[in-house]
Amino acid sequence: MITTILLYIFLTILKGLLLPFTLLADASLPDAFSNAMIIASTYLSAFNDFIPISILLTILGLVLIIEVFINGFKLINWAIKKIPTIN
Amino acid sequence: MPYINKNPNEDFLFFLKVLIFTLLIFYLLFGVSKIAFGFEGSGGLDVNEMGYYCPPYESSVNDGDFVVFEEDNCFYVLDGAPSTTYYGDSYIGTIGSATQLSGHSLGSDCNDGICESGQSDDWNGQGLEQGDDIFVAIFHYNASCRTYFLTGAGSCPEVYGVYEMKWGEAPPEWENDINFTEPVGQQEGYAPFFLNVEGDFEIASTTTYWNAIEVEMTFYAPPDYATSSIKTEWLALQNSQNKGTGTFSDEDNALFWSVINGTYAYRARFVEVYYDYVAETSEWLYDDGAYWIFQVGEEGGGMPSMEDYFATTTDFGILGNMFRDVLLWIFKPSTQVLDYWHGIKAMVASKPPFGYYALIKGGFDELSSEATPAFSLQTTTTTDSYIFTPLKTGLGWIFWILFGVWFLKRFIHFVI
Repeated sequence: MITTILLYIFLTILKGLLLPFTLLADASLPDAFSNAMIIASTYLSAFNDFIPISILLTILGLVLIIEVFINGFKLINWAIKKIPTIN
Repeated sequence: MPYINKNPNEDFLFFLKVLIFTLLIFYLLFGVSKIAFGFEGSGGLDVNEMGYYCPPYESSVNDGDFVVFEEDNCFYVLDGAPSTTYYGDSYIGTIGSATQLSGHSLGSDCNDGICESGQSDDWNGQGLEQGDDIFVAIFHYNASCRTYFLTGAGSCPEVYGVYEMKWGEAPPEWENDINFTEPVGQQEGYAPFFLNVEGDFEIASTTTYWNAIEVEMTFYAPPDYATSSIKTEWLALQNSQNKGTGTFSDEDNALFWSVINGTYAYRARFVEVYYDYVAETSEWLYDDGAYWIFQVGEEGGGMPSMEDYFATTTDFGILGNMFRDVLLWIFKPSTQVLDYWHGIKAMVASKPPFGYYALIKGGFDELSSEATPAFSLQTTTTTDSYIFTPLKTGLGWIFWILFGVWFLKRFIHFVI
């Protein structure tokens, strides 16, 4: 009962927050986007014989994850410090 | 500072910083939305929101049905699908291993997600045989989707749904199921325990007379044990008359743990056996996605309620059970509210900015070093193996070391 009520309350809040998004048109990207990725892959794979492209892509992903983590951490800290009485 | 004295590099650095910051916000936003909503970058169109039929059918067949379409004026149906432009494709085979029969734009009438779009699909001219897999896909057009449906490569980064069918007449339904009596289990202790299998097994006259019933029991482990165990036994039928009575028993003491606080399930099918060779089998009975689960030792058996399944497998005694039930009532969320939560994802899955995440992720998933190269150098095998491969390996190590150095510097200079 308690969990159900709490879930209903959170659900209502979340639905209220998400309501503006539902009024938007569906997201779509031009076909050229995915086609560009496929074409880029054919060129990348040509260089893969000499340069470890898969390792580079993995490292790029890791760098992005780490940067997002660090900057996300800073962002949350910044937001917390905006709360009065917290330094 | 007067502009004339300003280092022009500063403008570039400022631009670079803004660019990196924008990118980071972008990834952060979509990272959060992924964690919150678990987008997988595909699907989004439920079988309840779509349909398909051709004559002689006058309304949508069901997903998974056996069908024989006699004419080629077919209809792609959308019923409450998200608003977008749709394509309808028909395929022979299964997703990832298919040949395309046809593809159509479903027209602007379907943009609101509710329509019946008439298109020509010549199923009859394809020489389909009984049991062949066919499917139709309705999707927001993207070339990657067709590649995915045909070969399974990559993914479909758009809203799509798939309606799978089988060609031919539906197999005959069994006239009589195997009638399991309630299992006699033990509250605690060791095997054996027994399951009586009784019944008049007369099946449709056109089908085979079966020699035996194969009973398969799955013993679900208690939480402390990692694996479940499956035991199979054949019960011979009398004179191949599809009639018989049998008893399943298992005296394997190694299964004792499954009897204590465990649950087990069983299913059965008819088999045609020559000596030890299984010639033919029927469909599994009691295998429609949910086993018939009994709690060991529980008198009366029967399909347990959700509460039984999740929380009341342990008997705490009369007083303890009262507390258990009260706690369940207070803290266990209702199925309805959980379903509502589940529906939130669908509410915004295709809307910006969350929808963009799925689309962009789907696009970047296509980026790979394993594609067919656009060009390649003509080299001898020895050049490859003695020069380029070692160089590539060395470069790989160097890249990882550079990444390590970068990470170390980033970590050392990290200021909270």
